[in-house]
Amino acid sequence: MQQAASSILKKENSLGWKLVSPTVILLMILIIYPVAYNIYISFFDYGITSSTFVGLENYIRVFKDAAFWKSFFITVGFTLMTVIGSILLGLGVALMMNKEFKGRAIVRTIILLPYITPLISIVFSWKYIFDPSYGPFMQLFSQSLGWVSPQLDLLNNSNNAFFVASIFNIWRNFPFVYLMLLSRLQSIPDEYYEAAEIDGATSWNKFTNITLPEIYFVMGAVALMRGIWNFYKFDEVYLISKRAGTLPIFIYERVIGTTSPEYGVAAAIATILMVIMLGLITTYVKKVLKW
Amino acid sequence: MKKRFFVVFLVLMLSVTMTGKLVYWHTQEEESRQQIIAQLIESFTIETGVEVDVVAIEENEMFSKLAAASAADTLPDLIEAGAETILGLGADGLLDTVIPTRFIRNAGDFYTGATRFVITPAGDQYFAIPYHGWVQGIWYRRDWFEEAGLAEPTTWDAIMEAAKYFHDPQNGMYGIVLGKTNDAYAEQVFTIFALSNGARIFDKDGNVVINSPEMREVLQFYKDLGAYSAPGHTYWQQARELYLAGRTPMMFYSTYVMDDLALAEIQTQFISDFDPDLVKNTEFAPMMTNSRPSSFGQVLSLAIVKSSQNKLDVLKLLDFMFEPDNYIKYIHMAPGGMLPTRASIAESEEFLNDPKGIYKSYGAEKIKAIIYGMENIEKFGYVEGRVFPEMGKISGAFTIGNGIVMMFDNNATPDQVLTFWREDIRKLIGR
Repeated sequence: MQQAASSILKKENSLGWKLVSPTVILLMILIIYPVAYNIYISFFDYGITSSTFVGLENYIRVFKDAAFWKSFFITVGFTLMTVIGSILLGLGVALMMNKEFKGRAIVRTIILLPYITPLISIVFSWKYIFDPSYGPFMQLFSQSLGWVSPQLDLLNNSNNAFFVASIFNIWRNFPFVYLMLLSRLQSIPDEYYEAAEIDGATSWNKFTNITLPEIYFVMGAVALMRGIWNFYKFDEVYLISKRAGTLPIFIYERVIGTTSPEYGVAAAIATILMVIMLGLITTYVKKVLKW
Repeated sequence: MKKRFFVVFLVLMLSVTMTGKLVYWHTQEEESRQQIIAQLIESFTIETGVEVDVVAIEENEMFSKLAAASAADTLPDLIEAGAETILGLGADGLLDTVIPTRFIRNAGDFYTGATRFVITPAGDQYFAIPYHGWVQGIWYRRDWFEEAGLAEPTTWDAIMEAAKYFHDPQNGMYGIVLGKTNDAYAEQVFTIFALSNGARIFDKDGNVVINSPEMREVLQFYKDLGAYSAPGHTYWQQARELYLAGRTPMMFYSTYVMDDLALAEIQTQFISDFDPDLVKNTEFAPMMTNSRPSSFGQVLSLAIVKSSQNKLDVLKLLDFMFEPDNYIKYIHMAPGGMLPTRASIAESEEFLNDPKGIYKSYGAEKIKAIIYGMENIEKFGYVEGRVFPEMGKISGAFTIGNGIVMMFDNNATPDQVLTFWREDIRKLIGR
């Protein structure tokens, strides 16, 4: 009887594999092939008319390149700042929106706007607002009130471009965090809080003992996603300020916006980042998400 | 049987058209220009039966796109690009020199000012055929200058004096708009200052001589002038908008600005009210002088890829594109922006008679003066008839612009910028 059942299971198993195998193979081709090809060209000096095998030279050049390390640490800083910033902001807003009040539905929709508006139009509004010659921000704070120097160029000054790009990223992406956390908050039964109140718990007690444990894993997963996305974030950073100096921009300028593209070096950087990210993600998943 | 015959016939037809297809990459990305190019190419196909694939490429991406195409064995046959790009491709051994050399010599009326930019380092052949060009300089409000009794801004002193006189940031008026970000525009604006002071990147033997007292002077002057310039990391967009809005008396711009100044429908895209007198009150100063006179511009040329299998068809297309009617139609896409590189065209009535009447509003004399300015264009990569393709790499890495940004963002001294430039150039070209 058991044998019969197990053989049915086996059959079902193999049928299942047969059914998903085309998808799996297709995904493998789509993911593994580019990754493998990328690793392959990282050992070559790739020019317009020729490609020569150079072994580990690209890697050695990358590791020796001070500019690479500088932008690597900028990127780490950018990722930490934006992930922590958007989680805190998203959590705060989600906690507020979890309360009943008049007009909550409209406010909830408005909060989503930064995340769902097309990036390009938002970037242009930011650029216009902060433009030092004709932006309303400077008109008000510099020409009318005289609080800031008229020479201040918030978006493009290489000294503060990083902060502006981080703030922009937090502002644009906190609604995503807020949405995820709010949906989890909504599903925490009210009885927990009522029971805690009977035991005389303060708001802070309730937050640390009920809310936080309940949303911990969602928060961890969202932080992981945002971390991966922001580490490789190109479009937002590049559009708001080319001078933010994060790694994706560094790679882009090495390869695309130059008259001597260095594909081999760019591929080496991509491979190095892949290894680092894999290591970080594995540790994170084990330690934080406890899988 | 019939069916099989039909299939064989179809395959044959397909293979004939496949091999006969020309691939043409150009850098005219604006949609209106792409339409005109498409029309021209269509009539070429009707005339000759040769199919052409037209691809618009952003010039900054030309090299990486070509590298990818080269790897995939899908290189174009014909490329339109600026001088530095052409030189870089030529230095990589990608371009055919036989056809352009013969073409230029047969025609006999190309401006030497234009062909200088596509000459091979050996100096006996050409990498491409110059097709059209533009000149850059200072566009200024002649009426304001006359009212204030200021000299025309063609010398360093006059520029500085005028910028100081007009600069009034509290009321939203800026003395001048300089290039202050790390892009091609900043390099262009800086170049004319440098060359007008005899400061160069290469000497005629190819030694890097950027670290010179002349160059330090230029940097210091540029930094001082920056105090009377519109704030922030300005580039061509702010220059155009502030000038059209009457908030600066001087801007650096190429001749591409001519239609913005003359046509209401274009001007009102950037500002609310059209100023019909702006054309009359605007004067163009293509030359700048400090220790010597200099002018700056760009020439776009047509280059043939060496490995092309369709050279005969490419020749047909070149002949077609240089036929006066087609040529004039092409350069009328951007009156002022696209100036002819051949004397016979520049002097023809048809050329001065563009559909929107822009050349008429400036007058033939002014246009001829501007085209004459093209003859005297100078660039860092060309010294006394010698050509240095390495300049393409320096421009591509925005080295000059990065140094300028250091000066304005971090208050770097001219010496610090020179040190940075020297190091960066060594990294890029290995000397």
